[in-house]
Amino acid sequence: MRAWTKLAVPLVLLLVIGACSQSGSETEADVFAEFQEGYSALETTEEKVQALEEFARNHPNNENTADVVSGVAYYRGEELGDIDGVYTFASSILDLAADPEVRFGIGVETAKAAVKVGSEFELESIITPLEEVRALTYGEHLSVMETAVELEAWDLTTQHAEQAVPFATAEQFRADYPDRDYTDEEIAERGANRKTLVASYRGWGLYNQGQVEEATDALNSACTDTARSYVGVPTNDSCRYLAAISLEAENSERAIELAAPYAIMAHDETALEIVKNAYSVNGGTESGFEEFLWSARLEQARTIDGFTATHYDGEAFELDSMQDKVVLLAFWFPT
Amino acid sequence: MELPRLQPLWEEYKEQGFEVVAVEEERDTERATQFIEENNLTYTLVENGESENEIVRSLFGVNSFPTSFLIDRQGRIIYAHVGFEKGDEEKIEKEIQSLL
Repeated sequence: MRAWTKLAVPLVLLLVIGACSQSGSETEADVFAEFQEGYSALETTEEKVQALEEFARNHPNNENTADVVSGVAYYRGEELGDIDGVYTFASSILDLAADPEVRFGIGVETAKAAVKVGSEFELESIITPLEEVRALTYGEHLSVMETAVELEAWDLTTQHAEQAVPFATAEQFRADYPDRDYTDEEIAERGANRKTLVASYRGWGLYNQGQVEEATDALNSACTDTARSYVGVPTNDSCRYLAAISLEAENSERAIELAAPYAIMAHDETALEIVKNAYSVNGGTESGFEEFLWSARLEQARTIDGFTATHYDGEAFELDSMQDKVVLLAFWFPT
Repeated sequence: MELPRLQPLWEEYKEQGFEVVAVEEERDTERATQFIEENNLTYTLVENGESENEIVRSLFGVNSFPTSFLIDRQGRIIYAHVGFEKGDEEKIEKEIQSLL
């Protein structure tokens, strides 16, 4: 879920706060609520980008500005394709921001943009000031790990993975989301997912620091324990990291086995590269590769047995009724 | 991918044996039927059920939306798409063509 969509929730809250505040000085929350009102009427991408950028420039220390910058990253970056512009813009807002908490959020967006344009970014400059104010949350450690991996800042990757370990539990997950309606099973699952995700980053960091044995141990556990989607794709990159290590250790069959689910069912380009390399190391030819991929795809394919749902007129629907057809089964909810 | 865009896709390939089934996961009947009407969607749209073998989350562990599975004539999930990014529509159309 894009960070930008999270704004929908605070919007309602802030509009309420805005409506209840006393007259006189405008709070930062009021300012954002006002902005949101105008923003929701905008239609074109260009208009949205302009409004978002203006808000960030005028209110660089507002607690919502990091999300606003994330919105710019999406609209200017992905929709308009102007990645350089995103980097320049995010950097400029970071220069204006003084509050360590706000700087952290904006800094993460700037770091992501830096990666995309091939620039460096000093993550310490946004981490240390925040650590002086308070301990980082799980989410913040995660943001550091994610961006540190892309920036190849391996010390930071392992440091923050190790600091995140105590947060990677079901109890902590529940504590982080006290108002959400999760079942005990869901909480246990989320806790386990945190654990394997953190172990995955830690392992990859260690490997790149030259600690091959410890790394392989951590990644083997994570890959074995990780949850997988219905179609077999692991929910983190642990198995793909192991695949890269296997490839380097010239174990091409293992590399293919580990990377294939990501490459085939998740459109993962990195994994596809690993599979391709392992395949050619194993003696495969370029022309044979497409065929190889296709048969791997068929081999991994799962069926759906007896899926049923309800038509809007109350009649039962059975997926089996569409035997012999090619079916696009899509899951959605009305936003 | 966005539901309205599935309508022309379905219309183009339905004669060749292509079906679209959109499952609304949260049972928000009012919002869903309104959306369907506003967008003139005529492919198969259904509501997630309540019994064990219907609940999308527990069956498929689907936590990200939109999620879609492209199923071949032998009932196998050949392609999966999670989320929606630019360029996904062309990918999906190619994948459909390859299975028809």
